[in-house]
Amino acid sequence: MERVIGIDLGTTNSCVAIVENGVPTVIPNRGGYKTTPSMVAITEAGKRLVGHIAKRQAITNAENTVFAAKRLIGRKWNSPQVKNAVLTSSYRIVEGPHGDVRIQLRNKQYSVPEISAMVLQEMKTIADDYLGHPVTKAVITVPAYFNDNQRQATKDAGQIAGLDVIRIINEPTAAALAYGFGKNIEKLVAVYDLGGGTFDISVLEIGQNGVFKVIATAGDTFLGGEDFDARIIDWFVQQFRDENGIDLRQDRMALQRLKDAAEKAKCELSSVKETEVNLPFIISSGRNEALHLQRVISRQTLESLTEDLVERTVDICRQTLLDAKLGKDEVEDVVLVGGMTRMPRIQAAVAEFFERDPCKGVHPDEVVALGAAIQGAALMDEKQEMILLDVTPHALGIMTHGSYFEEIIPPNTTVPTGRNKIFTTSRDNQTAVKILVMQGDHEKAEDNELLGEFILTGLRRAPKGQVEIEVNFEINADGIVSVSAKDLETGQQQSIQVTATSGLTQDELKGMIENAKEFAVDRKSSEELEAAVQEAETLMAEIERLFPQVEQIVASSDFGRDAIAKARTIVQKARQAIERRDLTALKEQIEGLSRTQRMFKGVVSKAP
Amino acid sequence: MAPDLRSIVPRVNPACDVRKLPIGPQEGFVFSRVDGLTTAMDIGLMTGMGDAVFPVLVKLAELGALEGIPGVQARPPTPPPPPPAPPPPAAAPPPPAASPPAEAPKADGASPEGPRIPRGRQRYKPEELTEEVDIEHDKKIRILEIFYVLEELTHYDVLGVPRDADKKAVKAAYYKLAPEFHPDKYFRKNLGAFKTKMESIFKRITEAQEVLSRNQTRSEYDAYLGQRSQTSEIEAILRGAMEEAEAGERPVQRPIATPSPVPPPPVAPPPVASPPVASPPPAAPPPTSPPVRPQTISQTGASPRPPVPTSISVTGASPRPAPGTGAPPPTDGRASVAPRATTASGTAVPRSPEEERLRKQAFAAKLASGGSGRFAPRTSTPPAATDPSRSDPARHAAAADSLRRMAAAKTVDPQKSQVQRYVATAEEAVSKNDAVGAANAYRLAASVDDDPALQALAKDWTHRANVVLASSYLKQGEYEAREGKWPEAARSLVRAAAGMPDEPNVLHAAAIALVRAQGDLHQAADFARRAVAAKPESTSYRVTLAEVYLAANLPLNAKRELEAATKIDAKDAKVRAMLKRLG
Repeated sequence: MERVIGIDLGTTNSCVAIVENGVPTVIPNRGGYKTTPSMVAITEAGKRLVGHIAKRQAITNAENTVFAAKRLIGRKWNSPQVKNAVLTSSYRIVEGPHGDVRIQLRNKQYSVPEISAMVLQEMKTIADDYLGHPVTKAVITVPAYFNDNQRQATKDAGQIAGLDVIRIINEPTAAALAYGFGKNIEKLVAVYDLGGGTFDISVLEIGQNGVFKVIATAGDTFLGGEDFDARIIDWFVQQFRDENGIDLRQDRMALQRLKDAAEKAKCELSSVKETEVNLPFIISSGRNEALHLQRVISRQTLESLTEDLVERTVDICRQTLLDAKLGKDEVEDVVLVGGMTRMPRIQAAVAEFFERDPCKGVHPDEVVALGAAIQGAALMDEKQEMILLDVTPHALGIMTHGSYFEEIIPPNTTVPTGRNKIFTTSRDNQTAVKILVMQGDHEKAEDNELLGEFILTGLRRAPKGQVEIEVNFEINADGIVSVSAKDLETGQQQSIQVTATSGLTQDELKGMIENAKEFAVDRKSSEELEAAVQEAETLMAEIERLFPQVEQIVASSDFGRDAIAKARTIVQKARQAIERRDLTALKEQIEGLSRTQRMFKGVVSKAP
Repeated sequence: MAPDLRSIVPRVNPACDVRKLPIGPQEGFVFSRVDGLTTAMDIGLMTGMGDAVFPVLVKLAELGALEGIPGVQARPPTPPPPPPAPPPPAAAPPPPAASPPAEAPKADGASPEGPRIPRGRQRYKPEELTEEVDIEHDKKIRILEIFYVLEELTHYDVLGVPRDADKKAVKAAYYKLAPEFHPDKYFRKNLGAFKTKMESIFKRITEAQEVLSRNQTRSEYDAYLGQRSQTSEIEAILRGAMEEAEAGERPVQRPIATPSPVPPPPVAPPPVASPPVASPPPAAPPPTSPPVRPQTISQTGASPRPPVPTSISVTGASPRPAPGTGAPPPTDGRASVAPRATTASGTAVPRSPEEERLRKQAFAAKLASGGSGRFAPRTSTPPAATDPSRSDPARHAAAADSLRRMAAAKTVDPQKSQVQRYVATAEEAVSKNDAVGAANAYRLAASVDDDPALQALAKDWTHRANVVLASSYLKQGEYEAREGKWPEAARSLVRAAAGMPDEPNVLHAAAIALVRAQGDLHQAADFARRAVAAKPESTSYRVTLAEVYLAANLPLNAKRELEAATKIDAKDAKVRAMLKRLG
């Protein structure tokens, strides 16, 4: 059975896990951390940095460090969320060729899936290193409230990173899988997931036979820890302006430092009542005088700054239960997921709303990746007694006359599913209809996401309202939507398989996959070279150290003159290979170097 | 110790699906009289059974169909035990207990859990099973078996839960089935054509679970099922009675000789098997084999399971030719609510007026449990004798005894009092607005008495009863048409049309449904033609007729019809468009 990794591709942090001998385990990165910052940077030298390194250099390279790319993935350039991000982010967001979003780093533009692919590639590498062989199959999680375009973009990112994404699953669902896995329980569970960028609430039923059935899910893809940070930043900026009359926002580096400090303060305030933010020399006053930011922020201040955000999550919870026709008392356990749920105010709000203390048994940062790994193992292993019955989070439908959105598959419908509805012509003598396939929950068509379109022609000329057209929607187990329209009179039929777009054309995607492949190969060899250089240099240093001694010993006898000469040649050749960055040649020389080193050591140890 | 029948008012248990019970027409008839108001004594009078009605009520109560019978604990409506192996065919009349069940459960799946798959002929083509996919052979069979009956099953059948299952049981059944049919179970396996079939099954069980888990949707669905079962119950009762009567008379009838190829069955064994009360599954295709060949049906299918309950029930055990089950053998056109057309020509045996009269008499006698000495032996083995789940022979013996006594008493004062009693029953039914009951009773009376006034009444009420039934079917058909279930809608509307042969809009609706369901186009054409005949000025009826012709690949006829329509309304856009298309 092929191994499958589960990747929680988070807004701020990512995590990778695998099921080993039936036990889901998080794989730590090279630094020993279980999560890796979802940050990508390009250095001045054009070097790509991912994860902790990218985070550490962010302050000095703010313009070329991407964080929270997940907030942009699968979105269109003209969406309000992107407009907002353009204003607030420290890196440059530009319009792509198809109304999509690109990120400008140094002198190159990257699509959002490419950036996410860099993070995914890092996660894949972590798993490869841990397992000792490359993995290709992965289950990647996304916020439950992601639409099809965002999901597809995430899938594309996986593909660019060289992964076979066997399934995209929802983060809260994954959390529930990890929560209920192997416990043999029957429970109705609510998962409250407040991550770095998104908020999700899902209600699941864990039943017999390893069935996990999602009952309802909802959320907000633009509500998360980042928004809490932003409130703290706003507060400090405001305070600083009041005191010094200087706007810290004008200085990107100052803003980046403040951002880091705000995030740190937020985390600290989960365990202490107040904390001090101390940023010396944050900005120049203009009169050649440096200003410092030094200020105490209390938990209470944070709570009052973010009260409305907390309230928003509770409102979504309330609406979700209402839509699912569930009472609070029917929910038997509440699982908290995402780093933000460490905030005491959030724990209190959740406990207050659900009228029960949230479950403490799961790790909020790791549980999603664990769940993804579990789903991956369940899919690939027939013997695994676990099945996930997921729902479609948004309504699917078509645009109707007056540009209204007509729902055909309601939200929270268990997939696979199929529904149809009969429509009619809206104008006299209309001979064709355009079926605009949309996803969303807004009454107005334009507020929803367009997934695809096609035209049904050859309708009978008739007064409006006479010709009947049946529109049929199907979603299969892999989440692929197919839509067909049929003229009930003539039986004529048109259909499409909706392929959500990530904003990339197929050709572009192919090119990117190719590029990434090249890049992957490239990177792999350079890594090998670095390692070889390191090894050669260690050996050479050792040889150089032993040279005088060996020369002395050899000088007092006849034997071994050419051995010295040989050693010198090898060292010289190795140096040349390093200069040429010729890995193959260097590898050859390493063998000679280690032989020489062993010989030198032997000579020295035998010498009187 | 006879209880006071006047003080007992049996009520129908709404949670019980009477069609699934192992009862015969006698019980069915009694059941149809229970309305929660009528006392047991009155029911005895109405049915002509007198005190003997009590054991029947007791039995119905024990089966869970009735409430309010003192001292009877309703058993949960469990499906009857699996039928015993059928005895060798053409054996001597077997003892009742050993006879195969006339009432094998209509639905009892291959596995103890999961959808109740109606037994029957194999619906899938053998080559479907040979497709090379990564699914075990047995699972393939299960998928195919379920897939082809999906549309026939009720939500309860699909999940394999009883009608009164609580939410927890519904959920448990769903959680049992969902992993079995979710395509993820075979992730990235080659499933071929099975993939969409599994998805269909999954969708269907999910729909069933969702409908049954919410109070509102469940009660709406129950109401629809109620409508459906009401019509099929009444129909089954009528059919059952007819068949019983027919069976009873046949030994006498044969010599009169009809062109039927049915060999005269031996006279000696009184026919005992009762026809099923359970209606055929709604989407079951009309039986195509003439009733003389039950054995062929029983041998169909490679399925190792015991044979089909319906037509097979009588195989071997009883010499009586099995009636077709899809539709009753139409008798007099008035009594039968099932459309003639769904019956294959083989079953519609032409009958002489003499035969008709005798049959009616037999029918009357059967319901009256006597009236003629000829039937006396039969009463000693009541229809229920074939019921394998019959638990109390002693009580039945008592019931039979009482019936015999009554029969003896009747012969003293033959026709007169009988007719009076029927008329009284009929009038009572009329007063209760029960057209079906009235029609039944009047028909009984008219079958014994030639009085023209009575004949007219019988005819009139039969018509009204058919209208009542038909309007029920119409409602049902309209619901089904709205839901886009065209085959079901076609069946219901065809029945509605049979009951309202003069209503052009019903005929029209039936024709449309048949076309959409890709059903019997001859029948559709017949309906559409009748609709046009009844309302020749309607262009839309002509258009429908033209559509039927088109569907039947008769473009010339369609054109003619459309041209006739242009004469009525030259501007009709639809007509013109269709004509244009025809060239």
